[in-house]
Amino acid sequence: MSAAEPPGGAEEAAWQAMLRRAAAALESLRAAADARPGGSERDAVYAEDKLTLYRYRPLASGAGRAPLLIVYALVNRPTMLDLQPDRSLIRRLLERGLDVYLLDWGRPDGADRLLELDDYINGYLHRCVRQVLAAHAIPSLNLLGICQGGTFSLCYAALHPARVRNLITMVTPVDFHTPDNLLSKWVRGLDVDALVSAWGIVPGELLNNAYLALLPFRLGQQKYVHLLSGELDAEQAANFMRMERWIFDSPGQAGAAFAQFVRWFYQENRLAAGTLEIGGRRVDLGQLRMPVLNLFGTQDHIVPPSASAPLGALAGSSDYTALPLDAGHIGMYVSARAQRAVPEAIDRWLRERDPRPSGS
Amino acid sequence: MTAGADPLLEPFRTYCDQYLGVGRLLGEAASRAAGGGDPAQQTHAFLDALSGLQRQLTGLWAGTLPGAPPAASFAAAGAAGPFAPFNPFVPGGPFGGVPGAGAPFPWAAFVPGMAGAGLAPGGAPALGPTREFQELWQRMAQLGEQLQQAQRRVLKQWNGIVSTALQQLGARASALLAAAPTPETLRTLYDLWVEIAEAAYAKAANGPAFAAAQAEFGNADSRLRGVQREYLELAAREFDLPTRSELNTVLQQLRELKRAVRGIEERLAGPGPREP
Repeated sequence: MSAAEPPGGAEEAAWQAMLRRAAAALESLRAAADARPGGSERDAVYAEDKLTLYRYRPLASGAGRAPLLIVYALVNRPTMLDLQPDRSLIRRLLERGLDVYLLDWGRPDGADRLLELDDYINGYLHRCVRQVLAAHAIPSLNLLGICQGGTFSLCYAALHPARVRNLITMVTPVDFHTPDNLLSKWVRGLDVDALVSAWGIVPGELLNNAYLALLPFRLGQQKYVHLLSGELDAEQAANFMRMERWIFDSPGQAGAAFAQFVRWFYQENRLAAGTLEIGGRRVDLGQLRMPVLNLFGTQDHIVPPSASAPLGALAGSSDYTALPLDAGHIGMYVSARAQRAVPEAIDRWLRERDPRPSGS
Repeated sequence: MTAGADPLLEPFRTYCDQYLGVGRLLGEAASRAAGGGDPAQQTHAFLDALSGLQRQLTGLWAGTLPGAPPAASFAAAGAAGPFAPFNPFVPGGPFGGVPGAGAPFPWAAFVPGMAGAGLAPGGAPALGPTREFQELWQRMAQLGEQLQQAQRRVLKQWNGIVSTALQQLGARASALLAAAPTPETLRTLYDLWVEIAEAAYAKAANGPAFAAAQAEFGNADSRLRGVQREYLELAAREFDLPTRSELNTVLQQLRELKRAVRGIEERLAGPGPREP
């Protein structure tokens, strides 16, 4: 890298030390360049088009507890849920004896541009649910939806309530028109049809840039500057590179579904207004009569807590629990506090509602 | 560090270079201000010296430097993508970077009946056997101009943010300007800059003018890309090459077929649980 000339009059030794630290940090990062997310053992149990349904191998006995199907967002890869052994929501759930399935949407390409939300929710997700139910010979399962996957899970559970025993949402937007939702403000004037027509598959980089634009100075530069300023050991460098790889590993978005999501949710706020229709059927959150656990971060700048919290008033469930945690959007998966609190809360909440073994 | 060791490290390296560039400017500004005497004079000298920083930052947001932040992403993507040769605003492109200039038509030599044909300049009606091409070209030029105007409005927003932030930085940084900068004071100055700039940005970004400028920019970019595709499709048809429109038709037919098959499968599988 091109080192800057130290400003005149400064103590030469201090400047040299700073530059040495920066060089050492870069060297540590270079050495950690191959660090990859993931690690928990799993098997693909169903595949269709680009999606794969995984079942994770158990780490503890679950004594026949109902399986938990995790539905992640389309806009990033679900590797964040199993980043590394000591930062893995999935691993913590497995250690508590939960039988965990993960729906991996895969990476859409040009052949998927016409996929609609109906295809994702009443198609792919519905068929994955049926696969899990058939494998366990049970009528309903536990559904954990995360971020946009949480919004999909809300729609699914409202449309197919008999198949969802307990519903858990995490950092999930419900009301898209709250005053602190910056993303929502930005896309209101967007001609999403022109965007989708121009791109077909909306590039992941475009969405990533939008997320970075929420805090451009901190996320675009300062976080890297902080790395240069301190000592960076091999483990810290590997952690950083795994996270960095995840952040910028953004699949493209099937154009038709993207347009519907932006228009119906961000621009018209139909889910909260009760006017949303998917596949010709109205999505009525009043149909959510199953127990609902809603986890959200009080520091979340992507899905502000004000966007998640209204679920309590909209869901028809008489057993609704809101659990705000002092964390940001990413911290909800990987911070040390969340690593303890989130799996523990999910496990305890499910045990309280599903105490007896069911199915095989 | 060797170049190309890993794609992830390249942006990082760019950020580091940019940081040190910003850091150097901050350091130089602080050094100049340190000799200024009274605090007001120091602040004035500091702000004066920061004009270079403002130029660098607005240059970043204009997309003229690597690692341009999000505001310029639409244009940056268009400029770097496969359509770059057809973007009237890409320097060195076939349209010379000037909309409506009537530069030689890139397809003319290959399209039957077009070789040597004159093209209607911007504003003139499209006529003759190449009428469709001329019309598309004119629309591209108009949309390109709209994109430039939209980009200027976005830049105006960013200039306002940077100016506000730099003024506030000058007012709050005086304590750090009393002595020659050290790595520690420079780091503090940098963090202060980020804190102030992020706050100024948040205030602007939440306002309607910023959202409108961003949306207008994105919409202009999308519309230009849309016409660029029409243009390529027209040329592709001249060569009997498959087009995106044709492929979309096939995809739609396949989609309907798959749905019909699934419907039959589900009817054969029998009814599931009752749904609301």
